[in-house]
Amino acid sequence: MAGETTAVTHIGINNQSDIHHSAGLTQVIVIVLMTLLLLTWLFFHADYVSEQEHIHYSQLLHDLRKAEANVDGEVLANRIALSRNYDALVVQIDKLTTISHQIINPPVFLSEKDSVKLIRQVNKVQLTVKAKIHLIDLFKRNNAILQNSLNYFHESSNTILDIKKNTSIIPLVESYVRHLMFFVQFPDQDSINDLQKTEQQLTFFSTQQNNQPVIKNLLQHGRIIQKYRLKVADQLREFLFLPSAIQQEELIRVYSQGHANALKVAEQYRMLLYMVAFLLTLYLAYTFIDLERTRRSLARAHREVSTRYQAQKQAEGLLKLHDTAFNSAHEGITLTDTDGNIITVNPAFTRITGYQQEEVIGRNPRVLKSGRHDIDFYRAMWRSILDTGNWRGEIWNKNKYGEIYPELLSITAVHDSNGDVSNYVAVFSDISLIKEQEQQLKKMAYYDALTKLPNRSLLTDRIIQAILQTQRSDVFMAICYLDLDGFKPVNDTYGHELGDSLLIEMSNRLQECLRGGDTVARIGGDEFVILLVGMDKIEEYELAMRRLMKAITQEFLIRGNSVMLTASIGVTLYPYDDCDAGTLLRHADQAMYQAKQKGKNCYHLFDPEKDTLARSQHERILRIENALKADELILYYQPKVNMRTGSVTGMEALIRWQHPERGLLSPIEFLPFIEEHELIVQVGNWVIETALTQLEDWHSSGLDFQVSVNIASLQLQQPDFVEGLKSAFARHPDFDAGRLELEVLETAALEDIVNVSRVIEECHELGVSFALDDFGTGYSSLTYLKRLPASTLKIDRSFVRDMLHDPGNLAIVHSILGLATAFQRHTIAEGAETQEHCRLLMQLGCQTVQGYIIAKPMPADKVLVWVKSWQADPSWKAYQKLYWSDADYPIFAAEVEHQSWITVLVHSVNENLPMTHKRVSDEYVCRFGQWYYGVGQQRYKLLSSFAQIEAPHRLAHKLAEKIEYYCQNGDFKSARELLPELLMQRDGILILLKQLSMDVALKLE
Amino acid sequence: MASRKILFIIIVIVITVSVLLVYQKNQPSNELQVQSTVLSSIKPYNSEQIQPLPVEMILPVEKVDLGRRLFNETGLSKDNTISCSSCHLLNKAGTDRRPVSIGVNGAAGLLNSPTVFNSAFNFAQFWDGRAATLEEQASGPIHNPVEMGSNWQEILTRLRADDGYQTLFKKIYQDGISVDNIVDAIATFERSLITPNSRFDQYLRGNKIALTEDEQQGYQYFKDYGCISCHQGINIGANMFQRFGVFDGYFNNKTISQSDLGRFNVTGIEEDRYVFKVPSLRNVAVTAPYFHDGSVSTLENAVMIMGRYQLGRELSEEDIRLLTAFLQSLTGQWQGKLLQ
Repeated sequence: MAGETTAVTHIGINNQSDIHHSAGLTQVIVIVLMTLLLLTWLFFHADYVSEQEHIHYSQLLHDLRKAEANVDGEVLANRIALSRNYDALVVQIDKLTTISHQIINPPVFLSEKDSVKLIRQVNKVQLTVKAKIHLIDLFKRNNAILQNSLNYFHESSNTILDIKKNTSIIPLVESYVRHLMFFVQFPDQDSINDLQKTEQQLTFFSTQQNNQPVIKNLLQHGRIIQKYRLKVADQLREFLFLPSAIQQEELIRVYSQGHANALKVAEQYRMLLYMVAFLLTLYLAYTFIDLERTRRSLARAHREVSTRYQAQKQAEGLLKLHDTAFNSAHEGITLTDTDGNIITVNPAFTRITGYQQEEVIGRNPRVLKSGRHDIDFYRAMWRSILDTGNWRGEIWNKNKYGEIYPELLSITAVHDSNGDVSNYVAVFSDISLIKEQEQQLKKMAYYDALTKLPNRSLLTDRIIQAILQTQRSDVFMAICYLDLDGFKPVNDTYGHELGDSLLIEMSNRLQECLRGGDTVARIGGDEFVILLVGMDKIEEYELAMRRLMKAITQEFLIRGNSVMLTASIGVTLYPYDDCDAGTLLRHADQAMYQAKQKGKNCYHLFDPEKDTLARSQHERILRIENALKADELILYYQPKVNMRTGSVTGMEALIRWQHPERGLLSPIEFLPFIEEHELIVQVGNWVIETALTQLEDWHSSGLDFQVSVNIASLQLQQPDFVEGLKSAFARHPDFDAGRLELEVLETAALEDIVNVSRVIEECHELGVSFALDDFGTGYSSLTYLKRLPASTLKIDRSFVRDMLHDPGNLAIVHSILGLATAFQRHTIAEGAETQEHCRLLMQLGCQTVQGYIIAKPMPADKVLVWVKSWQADPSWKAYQKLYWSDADYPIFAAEVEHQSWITVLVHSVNENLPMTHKRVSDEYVCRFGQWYYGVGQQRYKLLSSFAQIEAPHRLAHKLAEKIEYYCQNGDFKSARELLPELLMQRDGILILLKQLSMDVALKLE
Repeated sequence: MASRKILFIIIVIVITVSVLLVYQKNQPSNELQVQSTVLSSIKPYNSEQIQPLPVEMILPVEKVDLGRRLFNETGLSKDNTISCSSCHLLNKAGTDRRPVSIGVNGAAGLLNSPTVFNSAFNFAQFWDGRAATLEEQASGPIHNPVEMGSNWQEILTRLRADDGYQTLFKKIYQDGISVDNIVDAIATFERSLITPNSRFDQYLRGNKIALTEDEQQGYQYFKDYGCISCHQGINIGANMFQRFGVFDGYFNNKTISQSDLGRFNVTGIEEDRYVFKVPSLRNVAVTAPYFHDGSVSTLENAVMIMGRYQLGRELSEEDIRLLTAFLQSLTGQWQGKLLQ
């Protein structure tokens, strides 16, 4: 419905503008209701002409006519005796009456005018109907009477005519009857006249004839007939002339007109309704457009608001962030106004100063004044702020509890949009900790972190103080530069942690050795300086040194292993060495170096007079450099021979300095000075170069052997070492790289095992082999050995030299050889001094040997000659084709052991020394005996040489016992008498052992 | 928003209401009156002068029962002594067998009570036909001071006070106890009082031996003498007015009372003087005394007077005997028994 949409539209529109006023709402309701009413009214009128009503009324009008027609019909039927009772007539009249009553209510849709017209007409009709009904009523009566009389007249006249057949009355009666009948048929005036004439005649005659009742009756009925016939005729005429048809037609017409008028009106209302609906639709469309527009603008506004809201939210977020920053900052923040009064502070402020926010708001920060700063300080602060807008610095403030603490404070002036100062912002942090740390650092500046000993700076300070002090009095002081020997390997072996604890322990021990005014300082990794002051006698310092040495060399227990360290100490005495603190330290350092050179584990006093080291290191180096340049350096060569093959395998190049003044200097007299200097690299390169040249030279002479060149550790650590080799080979293209062997000290190699291994491998790729020199002297683990891919191990001379007499050394040599076998390395024994050495070495399995027994180092030009003339010692022949299994080693061990044991005994006896060594034991229990009666028995019992040993062995023991016995009793003489026999026995054993060894020897094929 | 919702609801209600109103307006409020079952038995253009009564009347039972109760309700009279049945006793053929009826306080009426039986077939009620329907007729005795001497207001009050009547009325009529409903109930009851199956009706239906020879002869005289011209139709009369004394003289020697004027009392027309409703001759044998004033107590006498003043005939004794015999046969059956 139109009404509904309008209502909705109105709601839509009005709700947009109506925000919160209920008055607006009432307005809406009113408008809506009114519109609805209008539309309803219009529709009501448009639909006014009810079809049903029209039909109903039309039907009524129709029924009226029908009823009337029926009534007419019945009346006529009764008149002509078609209907012989009045029931039907009554019914029809009833119907007619009813309908005529019903039509009085015109249909509602008729206009006032038309209604009135209609009603008027209806009234007319009703009157007519009433009249009709009345007439009919009369007719009923009259007709009944008429019929009755007609019936009787008929009968009566017949009777008379029959009775009075031949009387004279008959013609009159006949005439009367005829006329009456005629009259009944045609009741007009003429027939009445005629009838009345006849009637008169008959009446007259009747009275003449004594008024016979029959005639009287006839006349009576005749008169009734006349009367009622006329009545009926009149009534019928009246009845028929009633204008009911016309009236009814008029009624219908009036009604139709009214109906048509009403329809027209309804049509008009419909048009109106349509127009209204049309207008409403337009309005609706307009409203929708407006709505859309509004909606769009609303959306726009919403978007705007949204954006603004977003921005605000962002700002809020930022604000929150700032707030968070403010509140969670670790530094205290104070916000003041232009007068410096606090507006707000953050929680950190409270944390640092102890003041809650409420306690300081409105107050000035000067409540924090500590009193440590003078007024100028604050003035300067504020001047800075006013001039530059900020101030930053350290300030001492007082917190709530009265404690003074340092602050790192920064004050900034905040300006508003006009450029005027609006606030001051102070940001500060409590730097108590920092200050503490400063102190700590200051402290640390003077003390070593690990050992807490004074460091170099403090030491220098102390030395200066001590110098002043010593100058004042008649005493001297000692500056001792202490370097721990072999600390590095320990560090490597046991780790830095334990190394550190070792250092701490060491420093403790050192401190314990000192007196009050003395100082021990740590100035390097394993370097200490001890300052001894206030001594008058030399002995004092010597004692101190001995004490120190003792303390140092005491065992350290590390992880259950005992480690022994030694130290090299260089000492200089002031005022004998009259220099400044720095120079004194240097001299001490030099002296320490000397001590190291002397073999470590000792102390060396700096001799200012002698001063072989007076020359500065630099001068020395220069000197050597010159020597190098001036070709004062030369190479000597010591041959290495293979005892089995009896051939010279190679040469070891050894550097010599042909010093113009001092003569031929061995390496130890100049190399140590440059070992830490890069000059060593140049020297090393020269050595290689020279060696290569020399080899080439020899090669061209037909000599084809390998040369070993010593390489210093510094040279080996050079990053371009291998490159240098390559270029050297490039310079000597004929030289076969495989002929070059580089010897590095085992100890040197261990210093930087990773790099050294790499270099060795790189050299391997070139073909150059490596040998570990002085093998066995370094504190190395077997892991290192595994890792160093040196192809040759050179058994240090120290082991080889004494291996004939020292079972320990023999064991070392044996084990080195074993190691070498296990790791598949070559071996060469250094320091072979006798043929016995050679023999034993061969027997132990060492083929190659280098030593004085073979040749001393010789200059290059002597080499050729020597090589040509050298021959293998004949004693070697016996052993060249033999080798011994490891299981036979105890034979050799036994040899050496016996030698040593008896030698010691003999020595003691000869020297009248008390028997300090272990008592010689039973021949079964002594080491040899253990072997002999144990493994030896199992292995060698079948051998005669083995069996024969028993007797002299036992005898030897017996003799030894006797000798011991004598010695214990002081009877050295008797002891001495037994010696020759003992020796004889010993020799016998040795010969037998030798024989045994030959017996068990395996043949080389 | 709540206000929005309220507004919406209001709109909806307004729309609904207006729609309903508009729709309602289009319903036809007039309903045609229900055709009376009575008159549906009347045939048009009927050459038969007399028809037998219908065997039964189809009427709503509850209304009939209520009507019967009301018919017997003395509360309809002023002093609670007179009911409809006081003058129209069903066991006295619907009359009181008195020349005139006795009303409240023993007041004598003016006219003889016509029988209530077959009154449904009267074209009008009362001797002067002033009531067109039975419903209209009921008001008459009620308000007549010499009959029931009451008024509707009083009766309504009385009936409304009775719970029984309240329930009964409420059951049948939506609007309960009202004048229209009271008369409707009474009229419905009265319509049920028909006496079909008189021997004459049986004869008319085809049973030629229902009437004796005398009765048949009487019927013939009834027709020939013209009695039948006024006493015709289904109720053997009661469908027209006629002057009492067509042939002058009935009222000549009498003192004329108001009631003697008959229809003139209603219409005022001169022609309607001495005009009365032609009474029904059914059950005439048992509804003495006769004529409007109940002045004639025998049927023979009535026949004689009718003959003389209506037909202008002096009927012989034989004629009268036969006619009377015929009139006897017009008595019908009520509740299966011949009316007494």
